[in-house]
Amino acid sequence: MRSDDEAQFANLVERHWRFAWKIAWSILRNRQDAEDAAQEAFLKMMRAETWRNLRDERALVARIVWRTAVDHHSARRTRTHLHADPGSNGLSLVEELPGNDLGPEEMALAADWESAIHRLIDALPEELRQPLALSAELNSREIAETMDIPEGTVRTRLMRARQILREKIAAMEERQHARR
Amino acid sequence: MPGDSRDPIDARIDAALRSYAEPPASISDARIVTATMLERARQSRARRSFWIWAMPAAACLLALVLSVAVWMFHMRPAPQLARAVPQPPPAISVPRNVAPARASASARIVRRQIPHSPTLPQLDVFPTPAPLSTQEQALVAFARNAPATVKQAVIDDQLHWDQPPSIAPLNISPPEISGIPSTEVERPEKENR
Repeated sequence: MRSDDEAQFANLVERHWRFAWKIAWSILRNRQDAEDAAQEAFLKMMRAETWRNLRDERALVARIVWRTAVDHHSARRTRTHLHADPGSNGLSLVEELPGNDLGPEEMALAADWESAIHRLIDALPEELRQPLALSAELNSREIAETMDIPEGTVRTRLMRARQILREKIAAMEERQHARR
Repeated sequence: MPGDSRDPIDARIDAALRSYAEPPASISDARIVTATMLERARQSRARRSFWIWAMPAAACLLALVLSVAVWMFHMRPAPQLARAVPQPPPAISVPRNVAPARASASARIVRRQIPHSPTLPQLDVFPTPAPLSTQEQALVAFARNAPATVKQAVIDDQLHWDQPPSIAPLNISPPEISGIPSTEVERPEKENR
């Protein structure tokens, strides 16, 4: 790679580094793993030289990072044997989310709504959590292209994920009001 | 769904989603990451260029070794027939009865069945057929034409092959010439000596 190519590639990485990290983190939920996956995705792009003359850099970065992160996630699950079966509709894990029976610590955490909702999102089934996490950065069409699933499926999963979150947040709010 | 109760919750969800995947301040700087990646790419290229040369060279070497091995295999002298063909086991004479006297009479030659091996190549007949020798022809003629008593005598004689032959002492009487006693006949020879 020539020096001007290296400079161009460095620009590309700097433009999309944080975006790539977010995509990877939405899958892996680990800071170091997300960094590794994002870095590996950029390396793949550099080796394949797919980063030149891109029409939609952002979409390509999202797609490659997502695939790399999914591979990392699968390898990590294999290593740690964390094969959680979320059930057919993904509600079995949601039943165990905080908010059903909050202790003092959970109440303190629930006071910080963002942290509480983050925990709720974390506990969602992967098929619902991943598109929801990506929805902060990508629209439905981009998510569909990135995850290689139909756009209608993305919308359905987003609706289901938000519906579950709404129910849980409403239940948490009711409990807070009742204890006051 | 009632819109009034949903909107604040949706707003909370949206706000939480925006901060959900926000990179912390501790993540690596993009420039450092880029420098690291470029360095790794250079190392990878160096390794790849090595293999680009090493693999064809190794393949050529392997092909050369294989061709030499094949050539040497074909140039090897053909193996001896006697080595290649397993020798048939010798015919075994098995007496059917335990009694030795009858065993000799009813002895049969039983040839062991040689299992046919389909993997062995088809070979010429071994040993090569040849006309009977004169002794063999005489034996066949004896077996066909001799009376049963003579055959039995031969068989009995063969059974006692390990015993010393019993030869009756020869009793040769000296010839008698008219007018001269037998003792006188040999006298002139002794005198000549």
